[in-house]
Amino acid sequence: MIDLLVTVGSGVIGLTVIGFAGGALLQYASKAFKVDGNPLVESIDELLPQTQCGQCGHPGCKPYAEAIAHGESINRCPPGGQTTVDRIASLLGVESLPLDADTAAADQDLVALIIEEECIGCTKCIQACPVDAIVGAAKLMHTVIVDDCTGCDLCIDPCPVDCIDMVERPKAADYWTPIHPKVISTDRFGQIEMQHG
Amino acid sequence: MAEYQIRRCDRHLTGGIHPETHKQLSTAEPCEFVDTPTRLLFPIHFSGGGPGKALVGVGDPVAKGTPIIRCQSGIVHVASRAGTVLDVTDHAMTHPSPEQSACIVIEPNASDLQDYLSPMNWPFDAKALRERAIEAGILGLGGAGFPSFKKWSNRTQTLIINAAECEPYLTADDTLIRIDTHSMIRGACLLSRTLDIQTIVIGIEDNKPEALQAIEGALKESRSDCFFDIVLLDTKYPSGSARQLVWLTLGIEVPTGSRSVEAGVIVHNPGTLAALSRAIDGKPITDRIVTLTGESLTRPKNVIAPIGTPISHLIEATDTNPQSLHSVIVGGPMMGYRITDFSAGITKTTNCLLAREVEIQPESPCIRCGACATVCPVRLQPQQMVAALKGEALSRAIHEGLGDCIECAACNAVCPSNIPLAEWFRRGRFEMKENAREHQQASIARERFEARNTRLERLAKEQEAKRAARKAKSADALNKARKAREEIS
Repeated sequence: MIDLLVTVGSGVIGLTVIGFAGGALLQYASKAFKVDGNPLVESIDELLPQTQCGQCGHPGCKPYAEAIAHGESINRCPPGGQTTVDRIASLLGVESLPLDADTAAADQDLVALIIEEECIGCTKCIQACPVDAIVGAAKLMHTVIVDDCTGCDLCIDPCPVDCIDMVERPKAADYWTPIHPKVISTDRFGQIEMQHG
Repeated sequence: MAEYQIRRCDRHLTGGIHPETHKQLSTAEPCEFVDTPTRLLFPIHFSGGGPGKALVGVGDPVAKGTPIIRCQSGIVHVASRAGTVLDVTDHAMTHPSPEQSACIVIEPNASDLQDYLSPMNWPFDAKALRERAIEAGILGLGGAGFPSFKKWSNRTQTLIINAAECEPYLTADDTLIRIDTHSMIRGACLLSRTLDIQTIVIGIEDNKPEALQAIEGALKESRSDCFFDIVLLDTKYPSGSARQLVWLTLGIEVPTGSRSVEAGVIVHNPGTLAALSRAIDGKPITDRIVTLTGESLTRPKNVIAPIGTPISHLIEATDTNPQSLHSVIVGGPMMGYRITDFSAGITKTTNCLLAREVEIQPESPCIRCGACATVCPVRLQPQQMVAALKGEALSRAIHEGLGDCIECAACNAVCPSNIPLAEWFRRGRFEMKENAREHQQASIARERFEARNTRLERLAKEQEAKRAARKAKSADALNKARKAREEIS
């Protein structure tokens, strides 16, 4: 009888000790290896085009990423286009949706251009630019830093004299595109003969 | 006499192919100078070294060696003959892009005015040598046109001279080694002395006995104290690819995503080193050896041509009528590209013009034979990658190793279905780079957006603090006034 009690008792005590030790370890790990912020939000934000244009109805890409993580629809990003929607869908493991916008607009890569002769120096566009890509001062001409402009067109509406245009992003002088293999599949250099033996 | 050894390479290339080399076609005739053409063309943005800026205007007189273009990387391109700048206009180029781009057109005249740099005297340091390489426009003359000075770091232990020249038909490097051995050896020695490199490896395929003999002869005469390790490679394509050559000669595998420079090895083309030797004497690159070959040319040979010479002029130099040809391939049959406008001028990277009859072969579906995987020198699965690319699944192709593809086109050569695999990979790699660039731009935008938000928050807080301070101050003043009134009453 006593033997039985000792056997059962040592088992119970042993398992309890292991349980507490494991619990303590988990407690420690949850403090020591705590991840700040939601890693899912970061991953979604990584896929968004970072134009900060607000066309999704959120003030920037990060807020939209947070909204998606909380269940908002994934097809609200026109600058990202269908590609971005598909990527987010595959990240979240959900069904992809058609883009909720004019798809033609997504393919264009635009930047803002201030027509400098017409600029009155009101600084309104500078305040609107989400990435500080416009330089200038009150009553002095403003200009766009083309390399930093995301093409969000948030500066267009505030301009009182309508002197900002959206133009195609200028390419580097040595930019070129290799011909698509579909075009050249019938136009090749001819057979390479091999050595025999 | 410089110390050297000749050894047979004991490693073997994974994959690779044995194409018919056709090299004897262009080595039968001796190498000749071509007459100065009536026009010289220099593309401003596509001469190698990045987008450039013209340093001369229409009507300016230039001498042989006058700087005419400065590129973003600093590299200077010079006029290859004395003459007058006739025009700066959009023109066809010797480049895989069929588009036209701004070119400087020079009309050479009979004068032999020279505008060279001053000769450098030993000893000089790496900084001075780099400076000289920039001013003399030294680029990788093997075909890639990478600015040479960017490879030179102080952590380098070995210099490899890439004399493999594994592409079929090409004999430009072979010719250069035969006729300009001393310059090549001198360039290699001076570079090694400046960068404190102990060993110089020469990787050469065993189908160039004359070149090997020339190297041996030059080394016997050389007074250099560098050690030369000459490695005889099996004739197999693509043993002259930089990564493959580093592995064959030294047994070092350069990891994915890094360059051989990071492994302490620099690889240079023989022509680049010969050009460097002349640059030290003050002469910038004005000429290069071009192989003119192919069954459609009457008299194939190697020529020394001024940079900027129109392709039609070179075709005429082989007693062939340019109008009888529909197109020529620039570079070899494996990695070259086709060009149809013969008025384009050659650049520093134009090593070969190949003219031959083309059979048009229709593409058929992949039969999954796996021949491409057997010959891939990087041990990739080309059939998987091309299937992914055709299905517009770029990320899948990248997962299969698209980033490691060296675009050698060995897979093209063995494909029984004539699928243009290498063209798909070239296009895929281009898209991959574009995506990486967009991703980097997005990261910059994110940083700027976040920095702006932090700034706006800070400003709002500061304003809030100021307002609170003002409020406290006015409350204080009110209290004082109230107290004063109470005292009076």
